[in-house]
Amino acid sequence: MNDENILSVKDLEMSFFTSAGEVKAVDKISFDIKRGEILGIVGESGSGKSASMLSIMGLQGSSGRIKSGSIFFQGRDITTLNMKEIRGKNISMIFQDPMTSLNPVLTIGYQLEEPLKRHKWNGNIRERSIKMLEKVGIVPAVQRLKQYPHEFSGGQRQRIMIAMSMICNPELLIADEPTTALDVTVQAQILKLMKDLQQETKMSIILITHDLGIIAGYADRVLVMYGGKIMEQGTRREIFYSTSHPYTKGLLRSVPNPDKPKERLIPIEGQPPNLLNPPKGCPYVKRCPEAMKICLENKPEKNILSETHSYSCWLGVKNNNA
Amino acid sequence: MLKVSGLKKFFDTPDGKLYSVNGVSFEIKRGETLGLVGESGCGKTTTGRTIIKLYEPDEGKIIFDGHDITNITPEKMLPFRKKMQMIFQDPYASLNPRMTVGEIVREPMIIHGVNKISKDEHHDRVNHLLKLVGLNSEQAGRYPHEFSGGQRQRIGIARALAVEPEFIICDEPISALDVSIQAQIVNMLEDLQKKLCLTYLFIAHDLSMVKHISSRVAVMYLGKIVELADSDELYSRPLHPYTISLLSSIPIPDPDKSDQTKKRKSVVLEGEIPSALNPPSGCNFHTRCPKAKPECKNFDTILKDIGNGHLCACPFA
Amino acid sequence: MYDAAMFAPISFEDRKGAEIIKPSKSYWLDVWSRLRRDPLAMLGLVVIIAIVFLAIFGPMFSQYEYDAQDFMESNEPPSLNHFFGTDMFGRDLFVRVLYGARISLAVGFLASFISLFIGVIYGGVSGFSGGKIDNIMMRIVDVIYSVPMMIYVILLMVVVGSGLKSIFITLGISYWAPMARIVRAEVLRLKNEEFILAARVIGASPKRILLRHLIPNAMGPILVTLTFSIPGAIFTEAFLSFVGLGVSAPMASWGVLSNDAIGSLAIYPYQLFFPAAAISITILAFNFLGDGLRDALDPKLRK
Repeated sequence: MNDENILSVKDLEMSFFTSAGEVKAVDKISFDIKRGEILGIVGESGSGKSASMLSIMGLQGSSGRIKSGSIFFQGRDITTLNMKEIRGKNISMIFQDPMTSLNPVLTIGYQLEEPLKRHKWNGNIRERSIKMLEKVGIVPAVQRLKQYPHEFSGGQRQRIMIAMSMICNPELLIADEPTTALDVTVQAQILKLMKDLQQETKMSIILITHDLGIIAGYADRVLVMYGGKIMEQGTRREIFYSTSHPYTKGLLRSVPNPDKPKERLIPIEGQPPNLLNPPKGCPYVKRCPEAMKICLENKPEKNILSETHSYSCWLGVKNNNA
Repeated sequence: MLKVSGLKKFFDTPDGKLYSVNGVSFEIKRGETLGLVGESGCGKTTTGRTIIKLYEPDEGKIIFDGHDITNITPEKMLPFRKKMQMIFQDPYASLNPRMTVGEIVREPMIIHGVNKISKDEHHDRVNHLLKLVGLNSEQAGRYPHEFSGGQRQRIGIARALAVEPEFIICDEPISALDVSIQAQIVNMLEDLQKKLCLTYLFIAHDLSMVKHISSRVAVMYLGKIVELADSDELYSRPLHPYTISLLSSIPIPDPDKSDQTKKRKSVVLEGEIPSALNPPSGCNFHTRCPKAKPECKNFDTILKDIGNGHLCACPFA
Repeated sequence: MYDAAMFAPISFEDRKGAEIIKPSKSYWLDVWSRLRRDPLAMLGLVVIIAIVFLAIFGPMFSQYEYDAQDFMESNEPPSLNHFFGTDMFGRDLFVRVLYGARISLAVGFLASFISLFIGVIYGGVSGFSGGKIDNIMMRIVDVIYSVPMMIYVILLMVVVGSGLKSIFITLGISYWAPMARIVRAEVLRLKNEEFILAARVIGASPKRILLRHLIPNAMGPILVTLTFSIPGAIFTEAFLSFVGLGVSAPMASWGVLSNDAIGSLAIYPYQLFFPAAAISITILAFNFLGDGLRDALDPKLRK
């Protein structure tokens, strides 16, 4: 294993067991994150992007179960560890909705200090929380520590969430759609803040989003997920300029580019797959304009294009043999 | 087709009066699409709902097709409801979960006395409408929860089309949908517009989609329109400082371009939208405006035409 | 091995078959299938059905009449002849308990349905109108609530007079207040949902919105409240009859039977045991069913 990789996920398979049956949320995915990089994950609802992150955090809940695979964090397999030690200290997470992720009856000061106390921070706890709050631009920090969440706007709450998640100097921050609930002008502020903090602390970030614009602007490397599988991964430039998987191509075609003159959009036809009853072969087979007979029955193989760029599609095999 | 002038809508809340829509004027010509963009709480949804009389306006005038519908009674409004329809934001909340798709699409026909025709004809019309929005007639007996988000939005569109309207208010119809589905719905709305000669008021916060679908775009901030122009003109030559910063904060799905914009040190606005309970005096954008002058808080802004139908509320633009 | 045939492009039509279409399932079928998996609720339902069945058909197959007195056999203990024994007049207690079930269940169901009817309309109108009308209507409910239910019922019974009919009326018009509150709360919650806005946009009349859109979507909580209010009414009837305000002899409700048995409790405890057990089992059964229904209707389990 590479020392540079802070987190390595190998063949992770995770399902939710509901009254309607087994939902195969994550289907054998593998990826690595290097120290100090921002890994973007794009995917639509039901693509498994959030479910795989919950597995990393050990937060898959009582109905979710990791069926196989391993998650190595700094060389240790954390699927077998007690995540309470690591969660909030080495790996932390910010969620989509800043309105519901803070406890309304506790002051933000108390909520900021809680992870420090739990992980036995050696240093002045109060000083640390004031410093973090100032870093995310909530001033005057001393006074604002005594306030309650409802006294802050949505953007400010997301800043507080960022301060809270970074207060123990984590090596990895997972941001699950951190700006989806915010307005565009506030979104730009929050993303800039995250990027600045990341460059300062050299931590790694997993940035989950459905917005290709955010990926293009902030991610170093990108995973494209669909139906619980990784369809394509590569550097930002590889994904946008040498797009290889038909799904990624479809995704890029379906969003309008405001800098170009108006032309008709090319949507991806059909509906996302039902994970209760996933297709036998490629999850994208029903909507893929280039689908072949083999895609119906067999799961696609991974085609490696460069050290960083790969995609899972039978077209690669076809092109090599044609 | 539609003329709105000086429209105001206030809400009484426990914390005081909420100035949701605070003097909005615009016109929509037959067959065009007017985009209405702004951030949450700017009053764009309230504007749409007040036009279709879900809320009673507090001030101003709404003229539809030459008729003043500002203070009309619900009974007199009924014929206008046949001409004016709405598509909603949340495909999960906008369909009655206890009704089948067929019942949902049939209901407007029953209300508008299309029930003089026979049951078979009703049935045929429902099937025709479902086909029009890309669903099949076997799905009429199913319930909304059996459909995906994009399909539900299609059902909502079929319901709006059931009365053969001329004007449709689309209230963020795609913002709750997945990226790959958004384009399907936008294309369908464009096709339906051509086929059925529809006029749209397209409300959204996604600036790139609004640019794509609209012929003209109005930008709202805190209950007022700050700029209104042809969509290409607005995007290539924005004048109001708010529009400029809004446009520069759209993330562009193109790494090279977004790197360029970052190098240009794009205008990231400071702060957040002030509360509509207590809007700033004068130009209500002066608290965040990068070019604000001391006099900005003293004068009332008016939308002024600066040529080619490009209206802007900032006198310094 | 590379097999070129496997890599032949396929049309969208060729891929359709892969999908399995589930049969359409309405909301209530879905609720039922979830309720069926709840053993306690099903036990409650079976017990209720059994009691209703026994109450209707039981007395027909018995050789005794509920009011036939036989002084030769007074105060008999339970035996094969008289399953539950006899009372001081020699009346068969088994038949009297079954007969009592008729009255108790009838009171429970009818009173609850009267309160359902009033409560749904009152709460629906109040919540849907909103503003001042809602305010006034809810203050009236508050006033009704502020008087202890029992005092209210007893006063009404004194005015209307005792007897079966007046029990129906009294319970019906005093038990609607909680139902009205539940319905109002549901209507307020649903009123601003987009599908209600959509109904207003297509021009649906207030009556249509209330009957077609609001109430069907509030049916879940209404049903749960109803299930819990039936045992409430049964209990109140038993209590009223017990203190002598309800039905009178020779009619036999469970309350009357309990009252009759009190005098000889020390000597013939079984005379109180059977009607009391009938009350408890019925109330328990309804509560089990109500709990199960509430869980089965919980939207959080859906999706």
